[in-house]
Amino acid sequence: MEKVIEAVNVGYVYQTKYQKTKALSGVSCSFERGKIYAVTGKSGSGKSTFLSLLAGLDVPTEGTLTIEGKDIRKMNRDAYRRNRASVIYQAFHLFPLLTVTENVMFPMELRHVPVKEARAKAYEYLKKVGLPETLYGKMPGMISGGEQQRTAIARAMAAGGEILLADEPTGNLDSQNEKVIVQLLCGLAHKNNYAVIVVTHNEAVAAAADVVYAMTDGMLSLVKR
Amino acid sequence: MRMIRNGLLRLLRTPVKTVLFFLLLTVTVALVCAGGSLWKLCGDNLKRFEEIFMTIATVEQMPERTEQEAVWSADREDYRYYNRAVYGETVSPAVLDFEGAGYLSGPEQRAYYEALPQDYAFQGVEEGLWQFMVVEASPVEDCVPADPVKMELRRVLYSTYPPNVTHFYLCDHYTEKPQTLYAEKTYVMALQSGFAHDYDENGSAARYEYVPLEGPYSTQADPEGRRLATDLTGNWIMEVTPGFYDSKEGQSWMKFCEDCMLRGSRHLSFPVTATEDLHLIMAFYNRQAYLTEGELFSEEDYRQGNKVCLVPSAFAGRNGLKAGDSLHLALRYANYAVTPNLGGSEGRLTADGGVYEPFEESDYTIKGIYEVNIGTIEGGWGYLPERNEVFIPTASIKNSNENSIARYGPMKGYTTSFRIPNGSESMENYKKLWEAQGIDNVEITFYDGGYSKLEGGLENMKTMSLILLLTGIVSAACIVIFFCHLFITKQQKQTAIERCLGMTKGQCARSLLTGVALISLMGSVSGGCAGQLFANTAAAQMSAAETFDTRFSNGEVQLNAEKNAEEITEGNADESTMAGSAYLRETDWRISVLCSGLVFLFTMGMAFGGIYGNLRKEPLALLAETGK
Repeated sequence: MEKVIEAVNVGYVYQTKYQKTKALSGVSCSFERGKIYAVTGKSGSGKSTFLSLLAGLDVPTEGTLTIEGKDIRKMNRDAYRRNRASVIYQAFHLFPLLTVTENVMFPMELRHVPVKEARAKAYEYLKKVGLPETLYGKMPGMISGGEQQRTAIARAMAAGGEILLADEPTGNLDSQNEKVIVQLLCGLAHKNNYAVIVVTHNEAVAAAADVVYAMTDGMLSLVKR
Repeated sequence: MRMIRNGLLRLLRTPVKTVLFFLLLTVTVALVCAGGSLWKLCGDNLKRFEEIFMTIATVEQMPERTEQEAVWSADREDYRYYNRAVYGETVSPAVLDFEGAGYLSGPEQRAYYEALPQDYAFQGVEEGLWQFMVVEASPVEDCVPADPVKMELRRVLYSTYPPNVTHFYLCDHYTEKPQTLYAEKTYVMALQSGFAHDYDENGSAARYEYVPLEGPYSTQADPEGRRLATDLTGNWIMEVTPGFYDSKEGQSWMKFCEDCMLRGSRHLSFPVTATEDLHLIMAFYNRQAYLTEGELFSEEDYRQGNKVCLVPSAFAGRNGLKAGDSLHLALRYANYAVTPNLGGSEGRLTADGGVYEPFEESDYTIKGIYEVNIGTIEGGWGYLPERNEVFIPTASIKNSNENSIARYGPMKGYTTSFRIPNGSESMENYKKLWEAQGIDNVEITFYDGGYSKLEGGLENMKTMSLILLLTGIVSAACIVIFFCHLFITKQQKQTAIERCLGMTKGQCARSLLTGVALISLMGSVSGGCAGQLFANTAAAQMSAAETFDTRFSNGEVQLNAEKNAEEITEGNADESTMAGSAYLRETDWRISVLCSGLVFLFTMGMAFGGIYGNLRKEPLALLAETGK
């Protein structure tokens, strides 16, 4: 399998005006296409920070993180996020003033996909995540947390990147919808050859993963291969 | 473009916030523009009025006391009583030269000079001259001229026009106990005709008489104003004895006649007033005297003493003179006590009994011809030019007049004045400095044509405009900062998501800026228009509410000389027209453009600042902050 992401001794320190907090230390691992990865750990263990570094939201303060062999520090990270990596956030991070459809269309518009085509694809992704059509024109604030989560997943899918990063994607879903999303993520990895990396507390998600890592106090360890 | 469209879409989906921002920005920009425009307008008007108005002051030495003077009246056989001002030591105009006075012109105690007539035509007999003559006469019988007595005319030494009589009635009108006149004796006397002594039952004059006037006398003074000692007695009637005209007294009568022949009874000569600034002369200051042809003296004329003059239109008309022509002036003596209209009180002879000879003689170019519109006489006749009065720059007199001062007197409002910068502050400052001089018997009266009032009104308006401007600026700043916070800084989460989704910093900036730029542009334009409209309305009301002392428009005459001259000549000078033409009513639209442009730029600056604050952080840090 092709390695898309490789971390070697990655460390990260949150630095504010008043303090420094070491969030990651000596993290080494790699991720391949066609697999679904789960990163588990307690709250505050550093797994979301690790996911953010993988998403190119910042660069490691220590070690090397390479995306398809390129050091992330030397990459155009805007382009990487726009074209290669999609993120599903625990807090959804939908645009409150855009409709569900517009939110899903947004990453496609960034890639200059024509509006008509973007709209059609948005409907397709929303359908895939099981969102009723009646909600397509609603504002995120008008739908439930689960519906917002599915919208966020649809948006991540719409981004078209082959690296899908998810931070507690099923955290706000009921068990039925949870299954749908887990199947969807597994399908993306196994059928569409995505590298899917999921940060989760959910045992069902972890169980569905091909590889499971555990994060403890900023240090990563392999649990299941 | 799509990012811009998304930015606008977000605006439309927060209509209350958007409309509120637009309205509040419009109002505050209107305040800024109105305040700025009115402030500039007030400043421009102040500057304009500063140029138009003039502040002059007249200086008058106050009498030490008044004395009652009893003058015998033969017809009433009783005294008439008059109050006479008694001045102590004459205060020199030099007391006005103190530090910090800040004069623009003067101070000057003006002299008027008696100029010899040459070949010019003046007021004639037909214009109603009273007869003045110096004659030798004898009473037909011994008499005391306490009442009219018949006299036989023996010899006419001088007369304004031929008396054509052999006998006349004489009454020593003002002397209680006149000397006895003897029929066999001859007397020399200066006589004035036209006095009615008594009246019939219908109140008509029963008989006209000749009254003796003061004979040869001198009031010559030195440059310090001290009267020179003289032997001239000024006796009204003197006996002509054999060899009388060889005596000193007889000689003075002959000189007296010589002087009369030179200038007549002030109708054969003309007065010339020298000044450092025509506007120091009240008639020119308050526009009673105005040009009908030519121009006023220039700064250079005053400074270099160019031989130029202004002549009255009646004089010019009678002699066929126009601007640019030459006028020969032979100045004989100076009178510092009064103006020509009050003149004639000076002694005709020098202290040693001689006739004043011209001390300055040259050709002057007529620079302008003026007319006098008497109108209301304020301050008395002394403030009006005399019928034939010619004006010249003081510095044009090159020779000293120190031996030709026929009369000197205390500073009077009509002879002494100066000019200071406009404004109540300038006046107050002067008054304060003057009070510090400790000179109590000199009174200074300021004339500013209403400038202080106008300045006060405009300063108040300027202050209000400034308050409006500052209020507008503060409000605009608060509103812009608040709404930039709402539209930009508070959109940190949106920026974080956009960055997470791969938007570049530039795209994020455009997305956020589009909406703010559009609203602030609309708000600035509409506010600018509203402010301009409001400023114009306020300016129109402000100018309509102001009242003017029309005398300010002496400067306006200069600005619109031709127009005003026509108006005045036609006697239809419209005060409000002149005041109105001076007042700037239209605000400068460029101020509104500038103000609204600055508010727009400020808004964009604040927006950029907010955006920069968000975008300089890494998306992870932004997300972490929004999570908090």
